[in-house]
Amino acid sequence: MWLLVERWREVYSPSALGDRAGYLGTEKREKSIFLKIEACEMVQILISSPEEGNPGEWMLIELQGEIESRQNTGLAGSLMGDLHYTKEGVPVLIVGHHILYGKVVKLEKPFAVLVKRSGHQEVDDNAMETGEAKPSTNYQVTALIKKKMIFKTRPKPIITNVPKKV
Amino acid sequence: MRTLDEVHATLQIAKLNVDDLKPVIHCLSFGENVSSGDYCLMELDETLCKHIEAGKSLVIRGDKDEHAVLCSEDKTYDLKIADTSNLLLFIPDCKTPDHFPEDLPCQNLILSQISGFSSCYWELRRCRPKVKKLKKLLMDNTYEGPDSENERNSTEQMYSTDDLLERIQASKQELLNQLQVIHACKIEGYWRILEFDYEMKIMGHITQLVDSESWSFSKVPLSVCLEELGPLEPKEMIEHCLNCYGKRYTEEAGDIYFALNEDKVCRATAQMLLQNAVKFNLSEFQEVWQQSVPEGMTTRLDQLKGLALVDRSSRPETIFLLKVEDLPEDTQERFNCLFGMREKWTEEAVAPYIRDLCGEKQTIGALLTKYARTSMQNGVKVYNSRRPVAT
Repeated sequence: MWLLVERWREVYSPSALGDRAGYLGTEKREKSIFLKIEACEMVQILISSPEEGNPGEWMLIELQGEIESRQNTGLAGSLMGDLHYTKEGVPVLIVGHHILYGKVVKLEKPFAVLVKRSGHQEVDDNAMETGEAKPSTNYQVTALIKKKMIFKTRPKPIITNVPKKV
Repeated sequence: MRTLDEVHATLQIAKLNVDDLKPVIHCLSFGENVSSGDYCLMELDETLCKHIEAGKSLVIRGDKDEHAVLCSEDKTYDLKIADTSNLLLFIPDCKTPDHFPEDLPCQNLILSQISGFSSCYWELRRCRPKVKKLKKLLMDNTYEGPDSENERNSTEQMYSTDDLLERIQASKQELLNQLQVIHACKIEGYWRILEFDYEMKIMGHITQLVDSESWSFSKVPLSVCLEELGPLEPKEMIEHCLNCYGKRYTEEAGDIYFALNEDKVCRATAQMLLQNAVKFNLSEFQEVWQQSVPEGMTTRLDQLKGLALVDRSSRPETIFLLKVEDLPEDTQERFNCLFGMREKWTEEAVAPYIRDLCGEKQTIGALLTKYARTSMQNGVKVYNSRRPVAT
C-alpha cells in the first residue's frame, strides 16, 4: 500500500509594517513523495473507536518551527513552558526565553488522534493455513481535537540582562 | 514540579503584568513517552467525526501496488499524508478561557502533559470507490448453471463478501451496490456473475412465458414463473433474473409480481446482438433489434448509453459495442482512451462514458472543461484532447 505525502512549508516574508508586527506566512504546496506504509499483501488496517464511551477532546497547539531541548537531553519528561491567557482570552506562551502570542481557532476539519496498536490477527479459515496468528497493525482513536491554539507571530525574545547605563 | 512562585518569577522577567492575565496557568511539559511516535493525527470531515463519535470504526484498504484508501461503512476516501513545517503538540488536559468561571479567587496552576507531537497528519479526500476490479475477479469464474462442467470441476477461487472486502478498495455499502449493478448473485455464500449467454437463456424463458400466458409486462407473477420454469432452470436463478430485469412488488393478497423493465430487457438484447461482430450497419441493426425484443416492447437508441457507440460519420452509419465498464478507471487514462478512439466527441456522445468519473459535486461540464478542449464542427460544439493522442 502506498501513501502519498505532500509537503508544504510556510514561507516567511517580512510584513510591510516592519519586523515588529510579526512575519506574514504564506503557504506553498511543494512536490509530492510516495511513502510506503505497509509492505505486504492486501491488508485491511482497522481504525477503531475507543471501547468505552466517547473519545475525549484534546487540545492542539501549533507552533512554527521546531522545539529543541537546551541541554540536548531529549524532550521526554522535560518542561516546555507556561501557558497564560490575557484577560481578553489571548493565549500567551512563554517557552525558554521567548514569548509567543497566539489565538484559539475552531478547526474547520477536526482531527482524530490515533494510537498505533500491534496485535495478533487470527488468519481465517478461507486462507488454508492452520490457525496461525499473524502480527498485524491497527489503530485506535484516542481523542478528537476540535480546536487549536496557533502561535503565528514571531517569538519575542525575553531580555534578562539589561546593561546598566554608565 | 513547577511552582506558582517560579511561574511568577518568569512573568516578571518577561515583563508581563499578572493583573492583565487570567488566573489559570498551564505548565506544559513533555510526557515520558512523547517521542515514541506511536501517535498520529488524522483530519476528519463532519461526517467522519460523527461516525467516530457514534463508536463506528474505519478501515484502511489497499493492495501492495495500490494507493491506500480509507473506508467507512458507506464511503471511500483517498488517504494522503500532509507534511508541514509547523509543529503540532497534542495535550489532553488543556482548557480554553471559556471553560473557566469569570472570577476565580486565586491563581490556579494546572500541570499539563504533552502526549505527543507531529509535523504531519493524514488528509482524507472523498473519492470514488475503486470497483472496476470487482467484475474482473468475478468474471474469472462465471456461473453457467448447476449442471455445467465448469461448476462440477471448478477449482477456481470463489469470493464471499468478506473476501471481496479484502481485495476491493471500497466501503461495504459501495461494494454491495456495485454487486447489484453488475447483476451478481450469491450462490452458496459466494458472489457469482452469471455467464451472459446463460443469463439471456433464462430471460428468454421468462419472456416466452410472458408471451404464451399473455401477461402484461408489468404484472409477471413470481409463483407461476417458478412453477413453469422450475423444471428447466434453478428457481433461485429465475428469481435472480426477475430481480435484475424487473421491479418486485407485492399485491394486497400477498402475491409477488414483477414489473419488467423495458429499457433493461431491450439493452440486454442489444448486447447479445452486438457482441457477435465488430460493427453493424446501423439501420440493419435497429431492424433486427426491434424484432428480437419481446412483442410489445419498443427499442430506442438512448437505451444503449454506455453500452454502444453510434458512428454517424461513416457511410453507411454504423454501431458497435463499447461498454463503459471496459474502459480505464483513472480519469486521465479514460480520456486518453476515448480520444484515441475518436478525435472529436459531442457532449451527448461522450457523456455516458464519463459520467461515472464525476466527483461528489462535479458536473460533466466541469470534467470536460478540465480534461478536454472545445472547438466547433459544423455548427456543433465538440470536444477533443488537450494533449496529442495517438489515434
